[in-house]
Amino acid sequence: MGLPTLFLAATGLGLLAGGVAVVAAAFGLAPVAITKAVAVLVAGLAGLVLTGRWWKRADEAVREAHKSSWYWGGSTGLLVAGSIAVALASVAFGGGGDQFGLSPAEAGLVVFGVAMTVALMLLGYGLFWAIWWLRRGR
Amino acid sequence: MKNRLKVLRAERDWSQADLAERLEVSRQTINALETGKYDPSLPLAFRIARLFGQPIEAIFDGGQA
Repeated sequence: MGLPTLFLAATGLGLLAGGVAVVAAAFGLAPVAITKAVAVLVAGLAGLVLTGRWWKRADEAVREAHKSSWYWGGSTGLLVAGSIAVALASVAFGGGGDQFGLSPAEAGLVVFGVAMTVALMLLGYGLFWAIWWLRRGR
Repeated sequence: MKNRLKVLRAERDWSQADLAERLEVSRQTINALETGKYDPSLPLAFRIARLFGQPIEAIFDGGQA
């Protein structure tokens, strides 16, 4: 299965999951927020499985480029996100965000979003790092 | 790491795409290898050595130990 086919399959599954979510919400089977979240989760997991097939076939230099980009690009992105979150945390807990058009409550929500994203990323990273070593340590 | 990949390929009149196909890697990988900007893994180095029928150290210059 080539990359364009994988992309089309992932897009198709995403549309299907979105369609099911719309129908489920229309029939009142679950709140819209839940059906949307489940649709994104299902489509995302399907995309991960499909692109995982591409990842296993990718040659070593292609993988190395992505690993390096994830490390440097991802770490830099986290650093910037973290510094923004720290700045917003001082607004959330200390006030004084009027000049930015931000209320402490809004700043707090952004800080929570950043913290949750970073925590989940680190959790996923730690989990797969441990699995990698456990598989190679025996 | 310096290597003789480009010379060996040219001797056989292969394009980068030809070599990439024989080694089952992308053409970009061959280009990165030839310019010394990427060092191959041990399995790929062995595949290259087998393809050209030469020992690894005759293709890649690992420098002084």
